[in-house]
Amino acid sequence: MTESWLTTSRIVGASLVPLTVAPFAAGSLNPVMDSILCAALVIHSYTGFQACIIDYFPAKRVPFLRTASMWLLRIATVTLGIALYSFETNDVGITEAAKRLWHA
Amino acid sequence: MASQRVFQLGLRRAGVPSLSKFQPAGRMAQRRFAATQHVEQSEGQEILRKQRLQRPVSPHLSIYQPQITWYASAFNRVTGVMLSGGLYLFGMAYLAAPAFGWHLETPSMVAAVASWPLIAKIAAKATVAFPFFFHSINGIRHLSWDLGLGMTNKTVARTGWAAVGASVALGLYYTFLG
Repeated sequence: MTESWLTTSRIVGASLVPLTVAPFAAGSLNPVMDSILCAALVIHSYTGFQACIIDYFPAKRVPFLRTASMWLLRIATVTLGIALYSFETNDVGITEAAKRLWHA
Repeated sequence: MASQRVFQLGLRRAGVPSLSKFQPAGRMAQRRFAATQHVEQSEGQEILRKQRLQRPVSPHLSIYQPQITWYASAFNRVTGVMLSGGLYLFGMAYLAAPAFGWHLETPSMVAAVASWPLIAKIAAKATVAFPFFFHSINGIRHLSWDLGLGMTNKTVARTGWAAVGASVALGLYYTFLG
């Protein structure tokens, strides 16, 4: 089960393919699937932004900026998780909201 | 002869009493000593760091031939940052809305967007649709490379342009018709 190419980020990225195609086929997702999509998006966004920070803020060159931006990213990602959970429970979820806004 | 004069000038600069009585006046008669001071390693590194900030950078992105390989890679990152950045901003705004008196619930947002002029709706849809489709299709391209598929130069160029074409087509469809 330990393959070097099978990383978490690749599994999450691959899972996003059916999760993003499904709303286009079905109109929008039920709350469970919508929450799974939100979770995958949060993890995928964190991975992406982390890669940007690693690329543009080398630790040897700008150590403080590197650690500060990584912590800011972590806090913002947790906050996003809370925000999407709140949006899912108190509102209609992101796929339904996107559909309604698109046809407004 | 010339070498003797150079030697005497060198001695004069070093402050050593000259071996000959001939001492020409003028700018060569002045004696200067180079002064050095001890600097801590960290302070020396700080001087070096400040110097490096002012040095010019060799051109890189501006001189490399535009190719679908690195243009698509850059576009993948830019579109990803745009899409996720927008999601993060919406999340923060949604949590902060009660404190600032904003209304970001779905009914309010839908009512606000419904009142926009057509050109604003089209602009907003295009801004979301094109990056979304390009990032998604290019993501599939990345996943296929992770499986070891399509890693020749020719295939990379073809799939890259196919991704651009598909995202333009889907973006146009969903902006104007979807």
